[in-house]
Amino acid sequence: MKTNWLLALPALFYSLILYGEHYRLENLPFPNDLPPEIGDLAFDKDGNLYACLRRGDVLVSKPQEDLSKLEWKVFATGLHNGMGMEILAPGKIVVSQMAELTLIEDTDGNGVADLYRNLCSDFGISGNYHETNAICPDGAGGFFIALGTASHNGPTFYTSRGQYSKDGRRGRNFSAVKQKGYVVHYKKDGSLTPYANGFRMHNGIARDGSGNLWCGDNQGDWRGGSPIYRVKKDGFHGHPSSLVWDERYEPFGMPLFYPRKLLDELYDKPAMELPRNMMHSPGEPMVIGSNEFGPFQGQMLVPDENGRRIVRLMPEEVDSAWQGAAALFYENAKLRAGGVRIAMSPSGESIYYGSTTRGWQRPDEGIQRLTYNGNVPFHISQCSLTTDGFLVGFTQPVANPEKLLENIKARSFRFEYGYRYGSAQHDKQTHKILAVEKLGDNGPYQIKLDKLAPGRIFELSFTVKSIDGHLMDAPFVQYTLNRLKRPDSKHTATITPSQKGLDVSIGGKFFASYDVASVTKPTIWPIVGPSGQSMLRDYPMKKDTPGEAHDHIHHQGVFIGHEGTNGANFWHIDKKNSGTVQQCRLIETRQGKDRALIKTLNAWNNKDGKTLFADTRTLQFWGDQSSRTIDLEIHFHATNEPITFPAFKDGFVGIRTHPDLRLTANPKHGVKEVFGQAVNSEGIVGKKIWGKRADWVHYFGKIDGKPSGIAFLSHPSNSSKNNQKAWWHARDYGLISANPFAPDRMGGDGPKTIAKGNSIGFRYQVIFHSFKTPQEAEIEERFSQYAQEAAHPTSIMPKHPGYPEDYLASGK
Amino acid sequence: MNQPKTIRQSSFAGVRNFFICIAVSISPTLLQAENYQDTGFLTFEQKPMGSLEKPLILRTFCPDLELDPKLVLGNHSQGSSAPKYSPRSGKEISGKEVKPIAGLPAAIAVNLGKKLSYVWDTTECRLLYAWTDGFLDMKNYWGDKEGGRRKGFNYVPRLFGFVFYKAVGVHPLQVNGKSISSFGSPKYLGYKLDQSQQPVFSFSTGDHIFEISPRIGPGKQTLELTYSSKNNEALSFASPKTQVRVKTNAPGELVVIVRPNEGKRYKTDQKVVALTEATVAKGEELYQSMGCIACHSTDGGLNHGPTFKGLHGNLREFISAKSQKADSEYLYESIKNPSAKTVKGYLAGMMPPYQLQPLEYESLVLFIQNLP
Repeated sequence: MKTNWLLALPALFYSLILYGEHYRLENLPFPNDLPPEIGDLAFDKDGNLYACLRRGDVLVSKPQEDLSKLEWKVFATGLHNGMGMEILAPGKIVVSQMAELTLIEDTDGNGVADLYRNLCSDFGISGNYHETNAICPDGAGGFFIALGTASHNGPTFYTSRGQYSKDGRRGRNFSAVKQKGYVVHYKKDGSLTPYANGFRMHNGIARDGSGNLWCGDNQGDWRGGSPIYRVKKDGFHGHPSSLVWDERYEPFGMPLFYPRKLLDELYDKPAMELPRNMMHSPGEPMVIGSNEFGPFQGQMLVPDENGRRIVRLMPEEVDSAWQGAAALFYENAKLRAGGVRIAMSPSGESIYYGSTTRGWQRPDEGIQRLTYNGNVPFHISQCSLTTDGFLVGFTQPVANPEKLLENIKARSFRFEYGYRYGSAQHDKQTHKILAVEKLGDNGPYQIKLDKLAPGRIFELSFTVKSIDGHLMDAPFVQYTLNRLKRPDSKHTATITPSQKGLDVSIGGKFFASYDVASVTKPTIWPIVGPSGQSMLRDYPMKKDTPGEAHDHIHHQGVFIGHEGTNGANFWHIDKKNSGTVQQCRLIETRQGKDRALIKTLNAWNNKDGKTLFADTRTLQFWGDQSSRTIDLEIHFHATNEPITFPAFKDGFVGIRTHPDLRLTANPKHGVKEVFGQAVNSEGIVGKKIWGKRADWVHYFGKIDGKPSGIAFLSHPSNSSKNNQKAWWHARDYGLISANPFAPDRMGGDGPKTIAKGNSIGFRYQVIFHSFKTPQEAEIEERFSQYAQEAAHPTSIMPKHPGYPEDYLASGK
Repeated sequence: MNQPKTIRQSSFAGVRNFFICIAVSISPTLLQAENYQDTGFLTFEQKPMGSLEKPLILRTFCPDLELDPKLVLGNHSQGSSAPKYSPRSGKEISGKEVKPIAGLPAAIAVNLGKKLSYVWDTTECRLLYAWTDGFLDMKNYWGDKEGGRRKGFNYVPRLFGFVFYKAVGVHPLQVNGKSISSFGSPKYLGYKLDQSQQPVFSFSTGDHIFEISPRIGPGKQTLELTYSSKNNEALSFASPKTQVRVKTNAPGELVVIVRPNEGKRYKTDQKVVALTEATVAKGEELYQSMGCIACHSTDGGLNHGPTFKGLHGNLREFISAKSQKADSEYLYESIKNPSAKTVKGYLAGMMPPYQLQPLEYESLVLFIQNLP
């Protein structure tokens, strides 16, 4: 008995005392026997509250201060599990129900709808119970529709509406009909176009004042925690089932069984991924548009579908993508479980919280009102990323701010990405608080911590009191750190689209073109050095440049390929079995800071156009006064069949330099005089560096009379025989190539086979510089630094027994 | 069938006032009942029913009643079995499959009380079936009030009542003598409620735009279908094995009376008490409730089927069978298997076979035998 009391007290204290004095919670009454299963809630401009119920009715009322006198009227009926509703005008609403988007109107003004117009039913419906839809306005008279996937806990029908996909039907949550797992865009003109995919059950979607689309996704398969997405146009949001409807992925077969590293590479990560102590499946986010509801205007609230809590989101854009912090806003045992929708009252002092649970847990449904009483709660008011930590503010001044450093705890972890339902917290770390700096009179506080790294979720906990002696309602915040803050630079790296692909500039000066259109394999050409010099041979992309030898037509700028891979020649372009590499998706670009980034998905096709396997490559570009750098991380994915890189000297990442940088001239073929020298990391010089192992090779001299050099670095993590240094196919006539698959007899690493379902990655860096001497270029120092740098963040853990890649590799 | 129930608390005021103020039907049983026809909103009742005054429109998954997948449901795609997937291992379990179930994903079910229920489909844009004496049992889909659990792989609502019409063949609506099925897939546009609060559905095929209002017909278990065309086209209605009477036909508007082409009783989990003896009274009840009355008079009046007056013991002449006396054996056969013999002067194959309990057949036979 005694123990029970002790256990009960903290909970009571927590819910009633802490939250109770700032926000008042009230239940809205409903007629007896009415199932108040809330699909959506919204106010019209006259202050009428519309409640869309899942069995089919839309009710309307005008809530007053005194809720006991609340009267509900039936506005509309006959809707199938409507989970999205927008009010166009009093008496005119749009509801997304299972089968369609419906405009519902009271045309005769008697308060009851009499017209139900089908705006759009151009998406499928399989008969599975799970395929509910939510909407938000597009700001131009149309709507974005979040189309939920089906669940393996239920069947599909023999007769579905819309195209049926056998492959889409496979898996746990699935997309048997078009376009389940998508956000689609219904435009005012009546057209329906795909907008983004990779969702599982995005139960709710919202558009913020800047036009960003936000949705959560239910916890489940392919979700480590509870994700919150800033929806990316044409992006893939992690759940593979819907990819069967996206032609960009058609070459690679069944998405559910793609190599997991490929999916991880394609995945446009959530802005936040909330662990289970914060959220158990988010409902619809709501932007706080008022400062009458506490000092949180502009932030978002999101209810928990399986908990009695509301979470506050503080997103920010960092390095071209969204991420940010989440904190518990309200938790109370009296809040109903199954929160799906929140609507703000017109006055902005209250929110109406709608819940439904029918179908997944014991019914606990209805609408509750939460009203702010003006007493500012002691909360974390802001949390954003800085270059070396976080900037954290509080809603009230903190007592003893000088002791804050000792009273902050920081930890971080990663979620694993994969088919499983949820993930444990992996790779846990604790972080030291290095410094706390107070910026204003009452904060915010700049908190510096060690080991700040991307691809992790950070949790900061505070043991602090306000100067009034209050404890914090929820004394922790979780920040999903997808990307570090990039420093500003006067050598800003920018990307502009071109006819052939993308052009990169550094500090406003042209640097390089990534060309995917005019060649059979994507190439980087031309490349202009810091002094304006052309770093590469122009031929064959440009045929009339004087002083160039027209040998090796396949040496095209900076290129990637290997002879004889899966029977196709990806090195030479003029052989009978020459293959091609086709860009299938520009996954992302980043720019505007010290570095630009291009990430793409490519199909490797044989001469008949048959796709053999895939690569994803991330190119980064940066520069300063004296150098330009291109960083390449490329992953090969055995999607369609095992990949076999045979032992040939002709591979793998090649550069054909400007003829001036050759080591030897070739007057017969037009190269009369050369100015190049070469050295590798082992101190070998000249043409003897060919066929040797080294960390890097460095060609230097003069181009067009200007001091110039090209250093090519192979990351030590690259696969090689007995962990040796990289083998170089580096010639005296302008070809510099790193080849991890050169024949054994030449001292190379030999062939390599990647089993179906698996992936392999390589990293290289190329520095184009204008230093007068090779010593000034400090290539060895640059290499040491490069060797320490982590690869791009991944959510794939080193060990993952039982995952599909193993399953497929075993030949099943 | 809707047991009045006492309400626990009277927070009904709002809804009641609302109905008074907008003058929707006010039933005297308002405060005691919990079904849609009384409350005007959907309740926890698993068998919601509307009424003539308060039609109930329910969008939900609907039974497919084994409609012809090609001719009737041809605009649907065909589902298939899927390999069973193990969320634990991320693998498909070889040799195990998950089968689809029967159901209509995007239909609209309408109920006007015991007199008529029908399902109109937004994918085929046509009336799929109609029945009396019941509507849909939502238990498997909605679950009960306490648990709220749908039935795992068997959640399509169950139809209960007596189905008297089922769609057959291609779309029955014709323009200039051609079925609109030949114009391509129809597109559902929506519905409006007319003054009786019943839906008028609108759809298009190609450049043609149509409206259809299914209504209760003049006789028991008949339908009155009003079709109209925006372009004032010449409309006609043709459906195999279905008796249709054209009521009015003007350019752009066609009204037809559709008679039963089916006779099957559907039950849900409700136990039907088996008859212990055949009686004339039961026979009369069946005659009225199951739609016999729509085609067979008892006073000699001419109709789609022969009158029952003076039938018993009379000699019958058939289109393609030997004449015989209308004895009890013949009467039994002509209810159970009506297409076996067709009386001269009538169309063959028009009466649907009725599936009844043996004592129900006997009751009907007794009823006919006892007529003057």
